Amino acid sequence: MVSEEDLKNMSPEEIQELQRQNCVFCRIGKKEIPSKVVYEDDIVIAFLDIQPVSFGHVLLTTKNHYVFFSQVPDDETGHLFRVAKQISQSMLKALQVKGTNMLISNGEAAGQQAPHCIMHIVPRKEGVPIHELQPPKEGYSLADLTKIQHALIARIDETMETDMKTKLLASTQEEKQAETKAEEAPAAKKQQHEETKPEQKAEEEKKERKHDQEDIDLDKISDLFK
Amino acid sequence: MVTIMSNDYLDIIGRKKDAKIIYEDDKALAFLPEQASVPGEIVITPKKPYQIMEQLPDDLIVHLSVLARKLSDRAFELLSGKGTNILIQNGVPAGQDVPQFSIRILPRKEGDSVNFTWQTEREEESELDSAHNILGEETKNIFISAMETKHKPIEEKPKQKEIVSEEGEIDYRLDFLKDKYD
Repeated sequence: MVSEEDLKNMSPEEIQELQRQNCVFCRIGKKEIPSKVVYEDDIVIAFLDIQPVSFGHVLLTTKNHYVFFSQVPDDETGHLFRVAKQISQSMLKALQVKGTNMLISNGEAAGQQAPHCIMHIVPRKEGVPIHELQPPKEGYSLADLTKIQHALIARIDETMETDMKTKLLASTQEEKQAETKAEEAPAAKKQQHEETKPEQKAEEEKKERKHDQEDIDLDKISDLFK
Repeated sequence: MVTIMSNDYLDIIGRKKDAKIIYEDDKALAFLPEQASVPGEIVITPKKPYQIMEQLPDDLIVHLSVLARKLSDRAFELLSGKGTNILIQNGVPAGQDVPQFSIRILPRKEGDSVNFTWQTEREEESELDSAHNILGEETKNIFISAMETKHKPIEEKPKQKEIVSEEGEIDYRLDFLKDKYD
């Protein structure tokens, strides 16, 4: 055990190392704590939650220790979600479910309980509601939304290589003027064009996916929307 | 009851419907929906029509996930500073109500109307084994192809402030990158 006195004398790096050593999820990743692993590679590990909210509830986490989702680097973020997609697909196929939820809680106010960024992947059956995963929706006033929109755009432009302010805000008025002048015909044409697109895309997807593996019937899951 | 769900998101992408768009690039669009769980909720959606996550190509998933993290950070800094949830509702039973895949970002405050913590009992070992057997059999086949080129979808300015956790911990992204990729 480490005494408080020891902690005071430790460098920030040593404290970090200690946190890593004591992190349950890091220890699961290193196989120091046994778990029911369903997927593992160099970067991530996925295992069954011992307190599942539904049958087959999986926790997916990075092997490196990141407390917050904000700290996960781009490559690992992308990989995490690519693996999540595959696990979700496995769930649809093996567990006979018709949907999946993925949830990352980033910060205590968001419900994060462990000091290690994890993604929940929850298989969802029809007619079995999980109220916690369906946050209620309220209507917000356009004035408030506009305020938030402008603030966010300014922040995005400030920190990312973007010029959303010019692209999205400056053009709004011009667009509106143009829209009122525009005939309905081109709009209808555009709609037609777009309507054919999903089908084509679905066809392409189907072809592509057949090479990969025997597939679950995505159409059936898509059909639920109708 | 059978209703045909309208695809509002595609209307927004096609600019047939007004929305508070906050980010757009060639692949993705992010906006603030009028019906939201918390003020400042962000919806990120691919511009091409895809209904569920399994239909998305991997490079698009990478792009959307990195974008989600970046926009989550922006919302975190600006709107609450207390936390964010990243939620995917994939399929109708999962609560998806628009037939277009999206990632939702919910900026959180203590005591707001959203609660993602559930009370569950520890599962019986036999139940876990059963889930492990069924799911494990399927996940054995998971093959994640290596990306041909390193995907760098969204550039960030180098001067960007590092995200430091509430306890003042240093972000160890750099350490990691050094031994992993250099």
